[in-house]
Amino acid sequence: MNQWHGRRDPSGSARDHPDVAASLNARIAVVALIIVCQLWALTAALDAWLGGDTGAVWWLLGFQVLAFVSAVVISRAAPRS
Amino acid sequence: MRQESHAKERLLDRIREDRLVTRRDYLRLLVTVSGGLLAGTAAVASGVFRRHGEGATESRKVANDVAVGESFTFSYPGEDDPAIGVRLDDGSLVAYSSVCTHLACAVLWIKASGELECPCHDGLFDVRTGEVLAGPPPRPLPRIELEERPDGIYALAVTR
Repeated sequence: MNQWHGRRDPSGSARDHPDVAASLNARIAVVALIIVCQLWALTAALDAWLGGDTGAVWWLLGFQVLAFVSAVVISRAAPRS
Repeated sequence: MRQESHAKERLLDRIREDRLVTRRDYLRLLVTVSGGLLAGTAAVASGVFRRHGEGATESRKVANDVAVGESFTFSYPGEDDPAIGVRLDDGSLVAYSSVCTHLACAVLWIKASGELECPCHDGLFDVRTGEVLAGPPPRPLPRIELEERPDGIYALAVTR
């Protein structure tokens, strides 16, 4: 039985739906992993730029675009409660 | 009594709502961070960070002469691009940016050891190649091409 008696659950709607909560947790974990990879790519791009390797910078920028689009898609595809 | 309890419950709900961040909020925050990292990399690619030697298009006289084992300092290509040149034992000339690739301290020529040294964090560079020999610098020093002409020493270009 819903303890909030029809009112909005202040902790978010995921509390009442373990499957939705698990899905959101998994999405957070995947996006966090993407961010770790993006942090690496940013430092690698700065190092390549200062070292004169401009070609590598453009490849890393492409990777960043791909990573960001993936994060947006993963976020947008989250199940609604 | 019942009305009072209901009001108290509503107040508690409001306090809880203010404090709590939902999973969806975390997800939105992470996506925003991801966009920020993309913007940062785009800024790097667009050339926000200036590199030593950019815009070096013409040769310039930087010294008259230098003895074997001695060094000289100059600026090339701009006034804000300090550099150091060294006449090696075999008579050849080498020159590098004197801005350490670690944290931009000045790089010095140590005649006794025959190496270029950054005294801030004990970074050592090979005087023949500019490669890092020791310490924290992540990259070699940008090299400045020199040419000896009858009227002096000229800097021609910057290579990495």
